Amino acid sequence: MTAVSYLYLLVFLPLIVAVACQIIPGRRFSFWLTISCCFALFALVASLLPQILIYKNIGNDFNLSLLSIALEFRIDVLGYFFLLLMLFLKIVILLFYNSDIEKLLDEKNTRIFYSVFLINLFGLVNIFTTNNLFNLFVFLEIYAFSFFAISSLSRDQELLKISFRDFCLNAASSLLILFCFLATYLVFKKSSFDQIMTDTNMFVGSSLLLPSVMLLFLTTAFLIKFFPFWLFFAKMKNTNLITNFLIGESMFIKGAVGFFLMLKFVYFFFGKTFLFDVLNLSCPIIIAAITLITFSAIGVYQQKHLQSISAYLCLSNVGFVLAAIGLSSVESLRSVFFYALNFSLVNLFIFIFATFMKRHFDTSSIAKISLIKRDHLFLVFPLKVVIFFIAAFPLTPLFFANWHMTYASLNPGFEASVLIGLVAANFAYVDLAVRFIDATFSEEVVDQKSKSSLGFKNYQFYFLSFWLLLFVIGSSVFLAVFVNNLSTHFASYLLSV
Amino acid sequence: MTQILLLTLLTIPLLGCIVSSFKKQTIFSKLSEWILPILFLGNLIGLHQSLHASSNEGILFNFYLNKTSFIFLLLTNFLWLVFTFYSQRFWQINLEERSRQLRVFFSFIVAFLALIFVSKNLMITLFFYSCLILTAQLFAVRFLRHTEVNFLRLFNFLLYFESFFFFLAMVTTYKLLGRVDFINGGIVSDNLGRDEEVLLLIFYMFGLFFSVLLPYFLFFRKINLEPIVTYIFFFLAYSFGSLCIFVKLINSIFGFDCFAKIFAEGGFGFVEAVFLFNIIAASAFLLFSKGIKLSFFYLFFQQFFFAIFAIFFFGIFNEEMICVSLISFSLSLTLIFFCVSNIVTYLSKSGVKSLSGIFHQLPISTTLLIFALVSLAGFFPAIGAVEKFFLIKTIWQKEMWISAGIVFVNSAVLLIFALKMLYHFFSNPEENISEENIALARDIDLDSRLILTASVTALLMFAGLFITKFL
Repeated sequence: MTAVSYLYLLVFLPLIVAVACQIIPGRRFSFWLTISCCFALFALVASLLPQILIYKNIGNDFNLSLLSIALEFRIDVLGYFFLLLMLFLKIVILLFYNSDIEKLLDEKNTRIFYSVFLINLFGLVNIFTTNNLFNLFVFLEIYAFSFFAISSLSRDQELLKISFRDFCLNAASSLLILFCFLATYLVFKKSSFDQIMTDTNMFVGSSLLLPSVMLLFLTTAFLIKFFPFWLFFAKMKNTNLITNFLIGESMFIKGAVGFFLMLKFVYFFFGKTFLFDVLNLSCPIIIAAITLITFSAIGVYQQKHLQSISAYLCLSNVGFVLAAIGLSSVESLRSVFFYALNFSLVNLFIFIFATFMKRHFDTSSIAKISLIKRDHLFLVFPLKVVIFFIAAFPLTPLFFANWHMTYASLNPGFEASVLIGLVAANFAYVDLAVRFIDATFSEEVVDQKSKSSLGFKNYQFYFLSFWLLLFVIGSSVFLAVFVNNLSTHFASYLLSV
Repeated sequence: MTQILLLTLLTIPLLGCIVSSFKKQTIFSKLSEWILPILFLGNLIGLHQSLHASSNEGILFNFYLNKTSFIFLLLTNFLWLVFTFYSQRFWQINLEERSRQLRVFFSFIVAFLALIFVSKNLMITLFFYSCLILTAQLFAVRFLRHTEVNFLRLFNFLLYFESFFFFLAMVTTYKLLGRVDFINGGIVSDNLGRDEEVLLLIFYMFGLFFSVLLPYFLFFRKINLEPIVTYIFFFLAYSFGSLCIFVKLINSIFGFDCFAKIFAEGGFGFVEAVFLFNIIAASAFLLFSKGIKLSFFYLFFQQFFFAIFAIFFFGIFNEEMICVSLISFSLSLTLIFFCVSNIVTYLSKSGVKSLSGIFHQLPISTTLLIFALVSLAGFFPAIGAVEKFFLIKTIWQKEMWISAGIVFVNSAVLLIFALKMLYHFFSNPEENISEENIALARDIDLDSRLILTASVTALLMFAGLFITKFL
């Protein structure tokens, strides 16, 4: 099979499996089918790596207008990296919440859940692989609807209210996105990213009003659609199992999709020249980034609960990605690669660990980590290792992210102000690491007991997801040279247009 | 052969960590505690010969061995040996319940120090330095009381701050020079403008000694750290690690010539003033401190400032004498630690609250303590005298009066402190000492381990010139 065939298999496989989940009875079977599909997709994507590194993108344009709308898929370096990461996150999240989901839902609803989950995955894969603005819009909607379908299964009134607010905001942002895409098609006669990429200067010659309005609309739309952290902050400490699943999805998967689209639209839609030379957006973006980083650093410093800490760490990473876009150099974009890794792997680890604590001890307070130590060594060991990653030890993703960001900002001029954000964030990270050490290694005896014993048989999926995450996080250290090379490919591809 | 020796050398301290982690003390673990430092020494001797034979550095992946690393490894090995030997008895009398954890901590410190010494580039050095800080944080959480934990938490936080500056310096080095490897003669030398060199040096200095550049201990008057904590945490983990990185930076990043040129053009006055201020502050605390534990703590800081100053000074004017300063600092502090911990043990076990007349109970420990203090002050014929002689010689030639002030303050304060100790040791001897206390004092003071370890340390201090020549 050629790489292009793999691509089509990748696109349609989740859809086929979603249907199979509905047809074939048995809740365990649905789970195994879904997880096998995720692993198969991950393997398929991983096998495309050599081709991606050589050709930079893989696609098949039929050059027929009608067909191209339906079948125009293309995977490039940017989409590839995010797709691989998202598939891995989906696997971890599914493994981790599997027992909770099955406990909460009956057989019929479980099968519906897995089908919707796969449709959600279908939407996600297509967001990363589509090459057409209107296709992108359609898949964004599929992704959003499947997300709301899952939230409707939670039976939590509070969460449903939040979901409804999220749905309304999402609908508004979809309208804004649709307006921008239509305007692009009607004014510039372009709907394919390929065409837009070959002429990213299309906005430079025209009147500044329309592209500026489009930029404003798209920024607002993406902010509302992919980073609705404030909506979930209030429910962050909720014990409802589906709520935690949704918050995890919303924070990590949606957030990463937001990163992806942010980068795609900055470099392949508006273009570097228009944003940074014509509109001079570098300074405002950097100021916004520093504000966000400092705000989140204070947040991390003040928070005592792991779930909230994880959310603030995500915000901090978003701030750095913004700063990197503001700096727009090879080094700063290499740092985006590592911040995205840190965002998706380390922050997710903290989040699911917090969920685990919440589930078993009714608290995700950092001071209560020692409760787990008493019950099971295998659970607390990954946490001990993660301390290295939180404190940005050399060779960890956060270290390389800081390294490239510092390198990019060490210039005489406004760019150097990013160092303020770096200092603030690193102080917060170090303080957090120290708190982790205090909590993990303190010999204080806590009387609180877990709701049920932490035997391997009952909690194999928790163990599996913790160790899977730890394995991948650890691999990033041992394969530091390879990961650095990938980051170079990533950054040079973004700047190649 | 060099490669195998270097690999073994790195493995031995790590094995030490594993062995010391065993919960039950078996014959195997007890034997290993002895054998490992001796094996380490054997490896070092082998590496010294191969270094001589090939006149090249032994390189293994990201680790390498040069003369500076070799000296530090040798010193660490010596401290490891004497500590292991001395501590056997120490654990029997003291801290039995925490001895295993302290041994584990000590092994980790030795392992990380060895890895720092042989690191080939700045990134690996920073990694192991950060590990050292992390281990220190664990140590603080596990062993110390509330006030002390707060103090050490601040100290560790400053250490992290240091490592962030070190990180900045490293990125700047990479940005300016495109590499972060240690190379004999330095990578900065002749490759950068003077301003850039000065900027880098400031970053590196902040990144190594920020936590001691201000006498922040002013705010923690209630701390009363055990001598073993001061020794392992501050002396071994912090000062030894930082000084080694500092010497490696001067030698392998800046190059001694470049380092000297920076100060020849820019002057040394500001740096001298900073050192003078710190030494005066630490000296004042040392002289007015109450209690022997606190005195040892301030003495460490005072001597650490002086060691940094001496290394700085010799780095500029006489690079060959750097190892003399290091040996003087490490041997004297080790000997002082043995004596002070004996005195503290006696005081805590016997219930005696004052040092008055303690010479009559602990004659060996007190004599050796006075000897170590006098040696540090620069009295002939110990190694401290060699260091002071070369310092004064250069100061006299260059007419550097602030440096003269530093040397004078250091020696004068040490002498006053030694006299103060002497006065306490001999004044108002207690007449009715119980038989139990006399037996305890004899048990502590006439212990063969103490006598042997202290004598070896003292002998090495006498043999300063010989050691310098050998190295």
